[in-house]
Amino acid sequence: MLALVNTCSGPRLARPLRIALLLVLTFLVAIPSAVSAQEGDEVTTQSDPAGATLIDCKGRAASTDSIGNPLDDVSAPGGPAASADNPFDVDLEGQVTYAGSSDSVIRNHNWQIRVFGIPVKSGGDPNERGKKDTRGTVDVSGYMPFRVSGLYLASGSISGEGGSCSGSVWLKLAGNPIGTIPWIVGLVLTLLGLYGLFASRPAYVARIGVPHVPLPPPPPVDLPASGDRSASPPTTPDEEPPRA
Amino acid sequence: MRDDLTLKKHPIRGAIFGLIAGLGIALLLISHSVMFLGGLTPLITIVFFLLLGILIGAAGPKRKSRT
Repeated sequence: MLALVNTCSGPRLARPLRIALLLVLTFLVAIPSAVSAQEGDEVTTQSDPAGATLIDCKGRAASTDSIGNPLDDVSAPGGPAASADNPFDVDLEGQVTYAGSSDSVIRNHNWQIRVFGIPVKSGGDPNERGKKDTRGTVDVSGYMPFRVSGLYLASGSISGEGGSCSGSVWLKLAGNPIGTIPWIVGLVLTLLGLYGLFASRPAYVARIGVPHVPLPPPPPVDLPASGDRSASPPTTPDEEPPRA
Repeated sequence: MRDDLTLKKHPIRGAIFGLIAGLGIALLLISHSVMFLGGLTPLITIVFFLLLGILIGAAGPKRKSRT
């Protein structure tokens, strides 16, 4: 690659520019390689069970797509730990059915669910009946502030009198990202940044303190009429025509 | 080069717009699940474009004078 850069750059380019070109080529080679490697991993881990981490409680969940077809399931403990390599696939338009139980009765509890550290849902209950388990079905879209796709870490916790429980799972939100708010923001920032980079190139400007003198206009050239090929060459007013 | 002109470089401006471009590209790649939040790759992308912006601002191809 270095030979390619040396061949393409030539002696006129500055050394930092050659380094920049080398970095760009490295980036262009590295990103597709990383993407293809990740796609290969996805193929091999597609059948792997999703992983989740739960502390002081246990639970399982199953996701369905927008028309109710099973998508993925996860359980903890017993399964693999939560990691980005084995995410829990969910559909933003689908649902998740869950069931869980705590090791002890937790009264007057508060719970919170966060997506990458950002609280998206919270609540609490006095739990006067002393229940240790819970189950239900939720719409995924109800937990997301806006339509989004990608891979995100979701974590949750519940704590109160008698105990606590916490856990995490990597969520892979399926769906077309085009048109989502993060995608639009990313596109706008990318275009703005690239335009700004283009405008950030060094430029020749007038030196401070030295008046800028614009270039004089080019002298007018008198061209002979197109049909008059026998005309004599143009003469300047200072020149006198030759005398016989 | 004419005597009344001087070459002005914009490394700070390049760094700012490189940061913006890096953030945008990282967001696009995260949206397409190419990389994920919390990983090192978004940070690498942002730092890469930040450095690229500094290089372009300091030693990129020269713009022509408008006059």
